[in-house]
Amino acid sequence: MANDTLHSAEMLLHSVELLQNRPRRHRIIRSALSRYYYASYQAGTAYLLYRGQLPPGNREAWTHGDTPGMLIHNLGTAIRSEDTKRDIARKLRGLYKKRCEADYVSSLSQTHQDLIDVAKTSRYLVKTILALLSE
Amino acid sequence: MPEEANIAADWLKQAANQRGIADKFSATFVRTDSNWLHFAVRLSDFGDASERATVLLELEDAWDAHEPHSNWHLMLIPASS
Repeated sequence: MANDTLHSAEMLLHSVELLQNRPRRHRIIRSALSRYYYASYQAGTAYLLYRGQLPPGNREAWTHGDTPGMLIHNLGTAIRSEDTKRDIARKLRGLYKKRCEADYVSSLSQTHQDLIDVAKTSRYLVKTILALLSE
Repeated sequence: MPEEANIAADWLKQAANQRGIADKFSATFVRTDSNWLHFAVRLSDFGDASERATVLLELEDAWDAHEPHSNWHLMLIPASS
């Protein structure tokens, strides 16, 4: 299950990278911001499943609100610095905020710089999870 | 394996050497997907997962900066060391 979820995260990330080659119209930026978040969220979910955690109830994953905290508690000694663990959770929360703004707040404009920043954060999170799973 | 993958593989070796991590670094070409070159990268005895991910990101960005006119991008996937 973890491998399937991680594969899904990789595919999501790749699909977003491909999206960036298209004309950068406003709706494309919003869609890409959202997809970058989900790539990161699914990678986080894959790691928690890999660590043997079980989502509550019959859910396939943890809530968007709970996942960052779950990650902090499950990174153990795999990430050496406590600051880095908190930063990973903070980055995921930040992407979720951006995703919500992109999907639901039409009055907020999303710039190409937002997309560049979100892309870099998402790439870092997914690669970090991939590196954790390769250990 | 497209010619660009050979070019990228050589570039990755040089980039690792410039960063002083050549002895810890190995990259294996995996596949192409659209205009992406996928490499599995091993970084042995090098930091934790976050630090390894950061190096891979930096290399991907450096490739884009070094080859701004190339249609190919790098996708560097952490692999077991």
